[in-house]
Amino acid sequence: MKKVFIFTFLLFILVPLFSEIIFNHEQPLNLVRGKRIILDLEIREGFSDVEKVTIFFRQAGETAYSEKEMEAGSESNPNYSSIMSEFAGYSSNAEYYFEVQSKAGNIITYPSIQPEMNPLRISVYTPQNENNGFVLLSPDAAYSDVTENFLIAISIFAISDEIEHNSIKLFFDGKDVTSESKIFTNALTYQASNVKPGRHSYYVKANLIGGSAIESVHWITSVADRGFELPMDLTGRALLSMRYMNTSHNTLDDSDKSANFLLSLKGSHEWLRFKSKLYLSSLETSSAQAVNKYSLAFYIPHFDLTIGDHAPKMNSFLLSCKNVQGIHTKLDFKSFRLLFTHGNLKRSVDGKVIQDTLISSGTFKQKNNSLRLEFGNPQKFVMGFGFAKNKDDIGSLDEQYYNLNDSLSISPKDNLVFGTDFRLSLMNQRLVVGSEVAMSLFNENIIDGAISLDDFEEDINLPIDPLDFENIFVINESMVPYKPGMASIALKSYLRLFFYRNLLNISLTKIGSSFNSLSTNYLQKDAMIISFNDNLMLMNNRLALNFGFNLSSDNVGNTKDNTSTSTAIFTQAMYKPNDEMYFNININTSGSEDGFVPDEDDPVSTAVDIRSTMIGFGTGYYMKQISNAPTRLSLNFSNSLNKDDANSTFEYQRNNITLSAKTAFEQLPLTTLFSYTFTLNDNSQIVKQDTLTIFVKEASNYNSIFMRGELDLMESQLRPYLDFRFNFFKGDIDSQAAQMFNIGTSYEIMSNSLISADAGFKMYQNAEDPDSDYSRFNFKMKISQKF
Amino acid sequence: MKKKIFILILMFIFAISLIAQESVGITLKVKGDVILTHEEENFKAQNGSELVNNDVLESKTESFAVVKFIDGSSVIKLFPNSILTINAEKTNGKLNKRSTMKLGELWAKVTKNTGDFIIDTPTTVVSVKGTRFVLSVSENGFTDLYTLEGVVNIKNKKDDNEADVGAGQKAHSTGENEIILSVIEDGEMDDYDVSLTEILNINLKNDAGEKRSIKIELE
Repeated sequence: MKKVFIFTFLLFILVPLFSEIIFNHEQPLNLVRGKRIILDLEIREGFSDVEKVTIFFRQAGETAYSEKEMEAGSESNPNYSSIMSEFAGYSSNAEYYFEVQSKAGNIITYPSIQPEMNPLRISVYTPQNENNGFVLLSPDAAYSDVTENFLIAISIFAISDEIEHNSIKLFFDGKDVTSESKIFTNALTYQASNVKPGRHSYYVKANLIGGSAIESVHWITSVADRGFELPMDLTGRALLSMRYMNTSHNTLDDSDKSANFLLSLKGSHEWLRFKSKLYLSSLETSSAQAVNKYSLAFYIPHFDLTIGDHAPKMNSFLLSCKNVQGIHTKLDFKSFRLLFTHGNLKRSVDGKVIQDTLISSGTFKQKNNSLRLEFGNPQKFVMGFGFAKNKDDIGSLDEQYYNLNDSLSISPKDNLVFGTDFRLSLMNQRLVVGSEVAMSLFNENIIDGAISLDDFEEDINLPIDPLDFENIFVINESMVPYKPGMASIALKSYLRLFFYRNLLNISLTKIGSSFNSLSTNYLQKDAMIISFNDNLMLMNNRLALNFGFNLSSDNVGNTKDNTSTSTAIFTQAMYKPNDEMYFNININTSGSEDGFVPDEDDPVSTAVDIRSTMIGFGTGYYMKQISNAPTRLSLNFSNSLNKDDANSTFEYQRNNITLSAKTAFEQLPLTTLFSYTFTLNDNSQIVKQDTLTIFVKEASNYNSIFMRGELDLMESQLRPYLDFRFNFFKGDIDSQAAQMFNIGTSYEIMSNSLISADAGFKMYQNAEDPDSDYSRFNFKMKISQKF
Repeated sequence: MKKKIFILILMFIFAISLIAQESVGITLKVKGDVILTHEEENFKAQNGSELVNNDVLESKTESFAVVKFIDGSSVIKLFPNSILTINAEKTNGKLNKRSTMKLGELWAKVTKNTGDFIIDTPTTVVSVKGTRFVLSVSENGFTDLYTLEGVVNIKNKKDDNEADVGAGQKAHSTGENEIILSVIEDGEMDDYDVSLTEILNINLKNDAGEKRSIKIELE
């Protein structure tokens, strides 16, 4: 058993290091509060070997991760991207990690070692109000109407002493409308009248008393086409996306094509609000879990009803971050709430049988019924109770897909989890403390149903007869554990404190080794996790400091000989002395050991002690001094070390440096980006062959040059781009090179209608293995309409 | 020579008048009857009306006005049957706002570190540093303050008694003696601090325990 654990652990660590898939992620410096962020995972090699990439994310202090699949780029633009609009609502650090699933079925994560415990982090940054002299007072989405008649009000308060008032000119859609404007000492206003639906731009030009000319930013306001007016407020978005890939290779034929359609609607009529979502994909197949999703939600005062796909949150241990296709209701009053969900966690999927032989097992439909009662005011004190019942539907799957000659290839399960929690908020939610606890009952095989008390082989002293409660929970000898006890309990306590500019999160989670919840089955069992995270903003938000650690261990019930522990400590400091410059440093260390003392006489007996250290430094400067071409320069350096401390079997070092320059030309509608990355890998291993110990040194380097130019035409309606990337590997590995070209454009046909198309081409050469050379073509198109 | 002196005097007076007329706010949105009194002359306030020092806004029944100060930092929504005198002064690049609320109700959102934000009522002085709050002044000058976010200081004009009113708290002052602090009751502001397209519902209670409800449909 011990060897299995070590093998699994080492495999987990070594798979990413030896994988054909090599990826890179440039971690964003910070997260601007209230704004979404786009995260990219660059697949440097092996893009076509990737099945999918999933990003797991959460706000610091939360137990569970949410997940979503990232959008694939193309072979010539080998990035997986995700627009993280969820981060916009975060008030503390965002934590995330990537899971790359290869077509061969391997799972590789980034960070590679215990990503749930040691995820990537982005600090939340609250920006100061910018004041560039001209401040747009109106339109303001919160207070103004934007119809065919709308008010433009621009403040010149900050520069009113420096500006020549008679030089002020206001341009609306390129036309000088100064004569129709009102210019006051500190502001100017213009009433735009009878404007056509679509985008309208406006800006101010003026001279300063010293004679120099200044110009405001170009503001853009979209006026919606009222057109046919429905008897209710209705907004929505339709998105159609298609992709196609074709490879030119002697033996390789991995052409791929897919299409997706998304329609989301939101509306209201008097006291009724509703929301709906429909997602259809050509990847939908009856031989796998559903890809297509739909939901229809109605909200009336004090009652919500959702039909379809929804992920309700009942309690971290009962039901959270899991999609349930079914019916969801919520009764909502000031001091009382009742949530109920009835649906399926999984749908039944047939297995594969060829000539009466079961090739692959199917999947039972897994039903879920969950209920939560909640008392109290969410702003002050809340207490909740609930349960989640998850049960495989035996009748949903034909017996041939799970029963092989009276031997079960998969077994239907029954699971009941019940729990309670409380949350106390004080000082206007500046201090929040809470706790959640849950207990599970789990039966891993209910094919024969419940058995009577007399049929139990052991005397279990049950006060009830299991047969009477079969409809609630199936009790038989396949229960895990046989007798529920402390190991079936999960507990979480947390404290969140926000004072001055200091945000502190502390949590303790303890999950027993036999805690089983099919509706939160992503939770790590037999684990005690202590998490500490402090985020401090100083010097008027110019200095952001972040410190934290995660400690985890197994053997919660002290039932094992050894206790495995993991420690992750992270620190980050970012300083912005002014709006042009920043410095960023982060240091992460982590370690995992199994606490095993090896037997010196047994060469197979080894302990696990893996250590990782990563130091990163970044700086950037916005060079406004370059005439007509202000450029943002950035330099990032990172050094990482992964080593086997216990057995000295490997020591991997990686140094990475990236230099980039982004220029937005003032006289041309052009933005360019140039970036160069150099990575030095030193993968040293000690391989033991019989009595010989061989030291294998493998040094390699990776170079990448990237150039991109993007035009901004027709007031940002048309944005064509062209980019080129050249990657090459050298050293003690095959010399490889890849050139990638992309060309594309987005075009806003009219207000809220957008079409974009991208075409890319990749050529790959391997100097040592010319047979593996290939070229690949990609095409993507998206049509989006908001209404 | 006399003519030149006359022209100079005229220019001086014009310059002084310009300083006095410095715009301090703009009405972003006006609905119904809102009277703007400027130098003792009454005008009907409109979207985009300039507000200068000592301008008085008076909202009639079923009317309201949204005012944004010229530095873009603060917004006031003046509810029906309310009277507000606008005043602000530029000091060290910041706009210090000191307005006077004679009667009625207002909601304000103030950004931190953008100069003073003070509202005088007949009996109290309310000063704010980055917050959202509701202020209600009754006909006898009694003042009720409801702090939704941040901290607001309220001070009696007669005896200088003062109190910091934190988020979720409300204060009642008659202008002298103790300022009574209490907690905003559950749901009291629920329908208030929401999008402007919603119906605002404010429940107020006076000394005699009489309840009043203000319902404003803003769209």
